[in-house]
Amino acid sequence: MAYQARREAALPETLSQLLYDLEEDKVLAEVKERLARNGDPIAIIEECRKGMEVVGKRFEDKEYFITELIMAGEIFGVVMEMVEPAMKGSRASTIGKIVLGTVQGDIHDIGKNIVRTMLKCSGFEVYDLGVDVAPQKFVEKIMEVGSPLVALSALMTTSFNTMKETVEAIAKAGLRDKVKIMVGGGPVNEKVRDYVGADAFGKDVTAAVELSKSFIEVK
Amino acid sequence: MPDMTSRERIEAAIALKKPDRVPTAPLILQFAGRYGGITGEDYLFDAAKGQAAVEKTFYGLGGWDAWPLFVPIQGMALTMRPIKYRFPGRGLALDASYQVVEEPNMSIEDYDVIANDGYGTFFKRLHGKVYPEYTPEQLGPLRGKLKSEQLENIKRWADRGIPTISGAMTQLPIDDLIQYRSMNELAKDLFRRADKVAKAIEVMTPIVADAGKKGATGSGALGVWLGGLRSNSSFLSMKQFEKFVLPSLVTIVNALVEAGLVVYLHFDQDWTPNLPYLKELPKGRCILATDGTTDLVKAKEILGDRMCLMGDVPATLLTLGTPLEVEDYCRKRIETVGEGGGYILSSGCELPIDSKPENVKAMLESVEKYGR
Repeated sequence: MAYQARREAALPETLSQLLYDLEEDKVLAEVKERLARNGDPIAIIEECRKGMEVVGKRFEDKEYFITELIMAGEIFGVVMEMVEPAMKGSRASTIGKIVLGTVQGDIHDIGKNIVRTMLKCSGFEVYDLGVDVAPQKFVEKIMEVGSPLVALSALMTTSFNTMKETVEAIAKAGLRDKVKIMVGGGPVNEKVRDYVGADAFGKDVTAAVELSKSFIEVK
Repeated sequence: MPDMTSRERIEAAIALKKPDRVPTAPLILQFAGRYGGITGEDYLFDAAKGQAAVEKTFYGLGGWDAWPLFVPIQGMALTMRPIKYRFPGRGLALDASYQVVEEPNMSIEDYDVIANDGYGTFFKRLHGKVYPEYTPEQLGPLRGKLKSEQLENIKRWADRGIPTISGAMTQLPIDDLIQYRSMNELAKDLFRRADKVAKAIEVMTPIVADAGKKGATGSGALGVWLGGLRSNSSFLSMKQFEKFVLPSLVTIVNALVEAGLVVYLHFDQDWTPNLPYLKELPKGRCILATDGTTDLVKAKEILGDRMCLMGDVPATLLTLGTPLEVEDYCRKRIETVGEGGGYILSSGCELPIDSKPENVKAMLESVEKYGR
């Protein structure tokens, strides 16, 4: 139910509802208030995650677009910063690790950054290597954190070869059977997935999250 | 009946008539450098070499009916706008494709500068920030030199019977703002300071229209390039589109058409849900050029009696596909989108720098095979 309608019906607004309706000021006021009376920071995060799930669903249903995803991610990020001091070392539960980056030679990152936000909201521990990432950097990070997932992004056709080189570098390091490799970005499709030798292609941010969950068998 | 000339074909398609065959006009920006056998840096920064590479590409591949934009594209011309680039040989490998560095060079306070001091003042200030290496005294003569080279190139091809569609390049105001602010910051601005964004767009709109008019009138080209990169359903909601895109789009297109110019709508990403709004634009004076993301068959249904459609062989097909796959794609486009006329076969957006030449040939030859 939209914010306005709920208010008219005088129903209480949960934190998750305020978030998925992108009521930034109200979300932040609510979080501030709950933290002031020693509310559970983990509960705040969980409720915001639920809100982000609805945002993702609305995006899938074409009710929300990229701008709404960016704004929701921004609010979520601010909330995370606000609750951080109250966490006192405790951590929100995570469901798995993933290494993410735009491949070497390509500096585009709008799509990648949105995927990062939505993966984080879904409970993934995301290691974002940024843009223009060399194949070896992916390999090193996968080994360092022991990630079973890696997602490669690109916007240009000229990046297909570096995507392929990255997949080859992962194989050469003996990791090919240990990681699932996903590819995505503007011109990336099934043909590109086949060309570079990846395991899956995600056509948009929700596909990226769903694929990641399916690979680590989260329902 | 003798064959139509390339110019007649293009003009017939724009006027929604059926030419003797479907015309074709790939968008050549950087591909000609690689096909012409020179480095990306030489292609972008050595006008004579760039021109020679363009000639080699056109004649080597058997030619086509029009240039969507004057050729060759010059790196220096790109730096006349306050947008940062990375160029081949200058931060990128010699054979790389140039890329926009999208970062928030425009601040939140700059919305007020646009509203209070005007877009011109803001533009100059931002340009000075992004390109401090140019002095204001250098810029005028430099722009003049680039413009006269563009005019020469338009004329050179016109004399050979190959028209140039766009004699000037403009972009929808919101797309300019996205590039000045970055997509990430602009998206937040649409929620946090929507009225300021709307006000800036209102101020920018007539200035963009004027720049298009001045740049293209008398250039020998048919009209003006109007870019729409993120101003569509791939990024914006319909509500945002109605508020931040549609009014400026309609105003700019009407102003250009009233000045006797054709408008080449270079619209990337997914415009499918936005297509019904384009029915408002003047009939028979626009070309909608899409990049393979917008459903062009749907565009034919919705806009076929309003504007010429152009496109949309996907970049990935041109680089990773086979000539047969390309031919098959083009045949289907010619048969459906080309039915009854009003269609120009082209690459979806820019012909990728790494397109396979045999795929480009297959695209060009398909108009003779299936387009008559």
